[in-house]
This record gives sequence, structure tokens and C-alpha cells, in this order.
Amino acid sequence: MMGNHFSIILLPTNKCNVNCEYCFEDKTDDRLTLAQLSTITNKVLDYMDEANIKALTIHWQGGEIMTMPVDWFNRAYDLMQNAAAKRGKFIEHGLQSNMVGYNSRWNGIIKEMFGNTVGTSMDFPNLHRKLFNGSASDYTRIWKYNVQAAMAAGIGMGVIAVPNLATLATGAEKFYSYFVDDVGVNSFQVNTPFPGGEQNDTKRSLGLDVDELGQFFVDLTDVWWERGYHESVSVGPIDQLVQTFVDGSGCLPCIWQSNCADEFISIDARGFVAQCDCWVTSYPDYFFGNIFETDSLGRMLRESPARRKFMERPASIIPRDCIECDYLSLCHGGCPVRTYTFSGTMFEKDPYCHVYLAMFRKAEEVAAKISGYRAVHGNAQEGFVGKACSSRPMSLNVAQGEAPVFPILSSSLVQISRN
Amino acid sequence: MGQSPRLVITGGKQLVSMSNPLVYNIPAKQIDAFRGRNVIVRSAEPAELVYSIWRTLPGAIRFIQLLSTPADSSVLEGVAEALPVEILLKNPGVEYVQLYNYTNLIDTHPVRVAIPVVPGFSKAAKLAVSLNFAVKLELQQPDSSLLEELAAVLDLYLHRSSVRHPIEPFHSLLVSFYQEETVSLWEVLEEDPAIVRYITDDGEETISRRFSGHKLDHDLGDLVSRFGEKLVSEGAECHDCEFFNRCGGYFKWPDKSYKCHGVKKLFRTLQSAAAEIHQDLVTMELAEARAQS
Repeated sequence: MMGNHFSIILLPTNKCNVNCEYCFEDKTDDRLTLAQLSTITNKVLDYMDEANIKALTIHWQGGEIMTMPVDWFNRAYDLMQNAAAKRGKFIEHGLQSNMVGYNSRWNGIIKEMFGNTVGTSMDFPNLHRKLFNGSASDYTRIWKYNVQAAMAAGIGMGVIAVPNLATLATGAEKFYSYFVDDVGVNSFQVNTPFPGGEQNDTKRSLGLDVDELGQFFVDLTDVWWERGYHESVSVGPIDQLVQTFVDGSGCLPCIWQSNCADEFISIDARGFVAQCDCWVTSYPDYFFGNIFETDSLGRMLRESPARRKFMERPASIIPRDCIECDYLSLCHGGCPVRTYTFSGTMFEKDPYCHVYLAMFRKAEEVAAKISGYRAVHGNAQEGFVGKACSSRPMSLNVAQGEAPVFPILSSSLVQISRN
Repeated sequence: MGQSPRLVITGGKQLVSMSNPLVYNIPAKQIDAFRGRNVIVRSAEPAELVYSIWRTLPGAIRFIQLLSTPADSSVLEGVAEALPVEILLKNPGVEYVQLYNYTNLIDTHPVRVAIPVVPGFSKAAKLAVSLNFAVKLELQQPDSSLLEELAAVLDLYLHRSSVRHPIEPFHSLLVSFYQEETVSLWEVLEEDPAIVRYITDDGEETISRRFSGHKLDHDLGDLVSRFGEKLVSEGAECHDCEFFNRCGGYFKWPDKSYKCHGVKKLFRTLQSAAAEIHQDLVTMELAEARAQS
């Protein structure tokens, strides 16, 4: 059901320490106890046994992770690694945090448990990320201070940015410069906005003109190609798209997987299970069930009517909307939650189709330049940041897992005759 | 069905027949009757394929062939890792979207999708390679409309950088043109009876699915060579066809009067593409040499 690798977006707390206007999560004060985490771990390992899955990646996020005590993670890490080792399984961990609550006490667990990397989020300009008692600029100031402190401590930071109207007005050059030159990160990812969760005026204004947004991505690709490629700066998903066109090894985000339902699930602090963090925090009608109320996660996934809808989405939209598309192999109809939050149904193609097409065409053009460059200067992998991945939720900007390698199956009988 | 197989015993393990190298494509229900032979096992039921794997000697199964597209095939995912799986789309123009249910199989098995060249097949071929499956087209005698679809799929295979998996027979033919070596289309499409036999559900031994129900005149083993020789001696267009050394009259069966101009065009496209790749690589090597000097 999930191949040989499985990912969980785990929300140990539904509580957050900031008040972003466009957040798709409906917050609660719930948080997992270690006993509950142990129950979840055992049920997930049971499922991995049942489905013959060897490796698990847990993407930790909230709510806000850093509202939990550091020591909770020390004990959680021991608990999970011991449980996995006893069952011959492998678990790796990724961390996504807004970094507002970061301090040096986190450095040890970030290094030990999370591979010394953290994914975080910031927009440029920041209009909607706000503190409970402070402005967007206060938020930005604290975030930048903490991110730079973490980087000074040797922690690798990846940033997710969501463009807004001011981003499009400011332009790709300044956007790129803010993250790379001003903040000093060399890895950021641009996600498209969507109005998830309870509606408000900000969310109602999130939809951007697809032509303008497409042009922004095209311009950002040019900026990355001119300034970032040779400096090994990663601007996701642009650089990974280009790499996909160059040699097929790019690590594309979950919105462009063949079906995200094959890749991961999300579990929140109440034990609810759904497709991803967007669904599990805001859309009870699409919950697969509650892990504390089932004996078998596998049976829940097999029998959930909500999950069946995700499984059935490609069969519904591909023949109607996507089979003729030149970029079918890259997109597969896009993201269910983006579609649902704009259209009220997931059984349509992603509303950002037009933007994606602009990105794909531009990435293909840049890939041709790189191939031409390699034809003259050799086949070195210059410029790309190596990222192995199996499934990569869009809300996370950390690399994880191993890409499955497909052995080319030439005619078996040709092989037989050669033998 | 030939002589009894000789089983080779090595290190306590029974290996498959060494005296009879033929591979038999058999219905799963006949697995016990072919014990010790090299087999391709087919069934519409994933569970029946799993049962066949358990009943068979190690190494005897070349691949398993799933003849339907049930929504849940997860039983295959954890069984006999690395054993190739072929999924046959009997009605590709309709069934193709079911391929989304099989993407996880790639994690544990090489997977190929067999697609009969019937109206609408090109959608299946496109989706299959988009999902990272290898593809084998099951050709017969394509009419003008199917030739158009074939040309579109060939263009996809040759020119879309997102296609990273073989589409047979295009892949083997392209390699053959590029390496300037001949290859047998019969062999590439697994229809050379010197190598493979197809056992029908009724137990009849023939060449492949497309030969099922046809009365064959010759001993199966040399049928292809005899058929080709006859076509040439009868002065069919194979007589002076530049591609006969690869095609071997494949498209002249069952109707010998089938006109091959359409398929020749496909061969020419592949031939030109191979020459183009050759030229590009020569140019690149020269450029690299210049850059190094």
C-alpha cells in the first residue's frame, strides 16, 4: 500500500505560539503524551510489519514544535528508536518549526534527532505571519535573529516561502536576495498559497493571478540560474524540476507525486489520521480515523472512505484534464488540498495548473542549457544540491529518504538468450 | 511438450531445467505441470500469482504476468522482491488509469506494462511511462489510425525528456540501429518460438497470445525462420525491405498481404534518431576533447 518507505507528518501538538493570518490549521491545546506517542509508534510499526515496509520518515511539525519541552523530544527519540530497533525497522526524523521559540537548548536534539537541519517558514515581504501581541515586522525580526543564531550554531536551515501580492510587486530578484543575501540561507522553497481552514479576509485574498505568479516563478528561475546555480543554492521546487529534466534525479514535492495517498499520512495531537497536515487540522470530514481508536492502522487505511477518495482522484481527473499534457509525468493533476480549498472538491485538477506549466516550460529550457553546458564542459553535477527523497511533503523543506531505483527492464527474453 | 526436464541440484537447492531452455508462458493453474521448467506465470488474480511463486523452484519464474487491474494488488508488493511483474492492460484505452494503483510495486519489483496496440492505447503508454513503468507494446497489423498513435508514442519515447523507461519494441530497435547490430523483432516482443512458448488456458502450445486459436503448419521451433524465408521466396515486399533483418516478417502475420509502408516509416524514424544520437555524441566528444586541450 505504501511501497517500501512510509512517511508520517506528525503533529505532537496542535498548539502554536504565533498568529499567522493565513494559517490553514484550526488550533487546539492538545499535545501528545509520551504514552500516547508510544501507542502511535507501536501501531505504526505493526502497520509497517503488515505491509512489509522497512523505513519510516517522521516529519515533526505542529502547531508549533517548539512549544513542547526539549526533554520531551529526548525521551521521544529514545522511545521511538528503541521500538523500531526491536522490530528491525529504521526511523528517521525531520523537523519543521517557525523558529520563534528557538534557543540554544534545542541544538543538541536538533543535531541528534533531526540530522542538524530544520525547515522553517518566512515570506517576503512578510504580510501575514504575526505574533499574538506583535506585528509582522516583529515576527520577521525575531525569526531572522533566531534563524541566524541557529545557522551560527551549525544548523542547516531550509525556508518555505509563500508568495503574496506584495511578493509579485517586489519581484523575483529582491525575493531571492532577501533569503540568500540578507538572511543568509542557501536553501529555500516557494509554495503556492491556498485558503485552507476557517475563512477570513486574508485567506479570501490569497488567490494570486496565475499569469503573474507563473511569471514570478519564471523570473525566479532566471535569477537562480544566473546567481544560484553555480553557488549550489537550492530554490525549490525550481532547482529540483530542472534536475528532473536534466537527468531524472530531481526530488519533487508531494504536490507533484503520482498520488500523495501512496506517500504519507498525517497524525495530529488528538490521534486523528488524515492525508496531510492541512487535512488533519481543518477538515474532519476527510479524517481517515483515529489511531487511538483502532486496533489496526492498516485496516483503517484500507477501509477509510475518505482515503478512498484520495486514491480515486487520479482516475477521475487524469482522463478529463491531464492525459494530453506534455508534463503529465511531473504533475499528475497536482495537489488535492489546493484544489479542494479553492474549488470545494478535490476531483478537479490543481488550480495552479497554469503556473505549473510556466514553471515546467522554463525548467525544461534551463535544463537544455545545462545539458548543452555539460556537452562542452563534461558531465559534472555542478550546481545541484544533492537531495535524496522518497516522499517530500510540501510543507517541509528538508531532504529525506532514498529514491527508489527502477531497474530498466529490457526484454527479459533478450536477457535469457544472452545468458 | 518436449522431454522431461533435468533438475540440477546445487548446494541443496533445486534449480531449473538446464536441458530445456524454453520459457513457457503458462496459466497459473498449470504451475505444477511445469515444475522444473522456465516459466512466465500469468493470472488475473494477484493471490493466485503469489501462490504460484510459493509452488515454484527458485529462479524458475522469469516474470509474473497480471492479466487484470484490480484496485488492490498489495499482496504482490511484499512477495518475491525483485521478481519482474508485467501488468497486461487488455483494454488499455479504458483501463489505463488503474495504473495509479500499481505505483508502489516499483519499490519492490521491476514492473512493465504490456499494452495491446488497439485504439486508445497511446494514452496507456503515455501514462505508464509517466508513472515510471517500462512498456511493451503488443503489435499486430496496425491500421492507419493505429499507426498514427504509434507515431505519437514513438515521438514521446524519442523526444520527451521525462520518458526514462523503455518502450518496447522501440527501445531495442533504437539500440540496434545505434549499435548497428541486428535484432529480431520476434525476440524483442517475446514471440520467438525458439525461445518462448505460450500455453493457452486450454493447454494448447503456441507462440503467443496473438497466435492462440490459429492452426500453425510447421514445427514451432523454426516457424519464424521458415515464415520469413517463405515471404522472401514468394516475392512479398519483405524481399527487398531494408528492415527485414530486424522485422523478419513480423507484420506479415496473419495477413501476408498487409502493406508495411506505415511500419517502415516507424523503422525509418528510429533509424534517423539513432543516427542523430550518434552524430550528437561525436560532436560532444569533439567538444570535450577541445575543452581539455
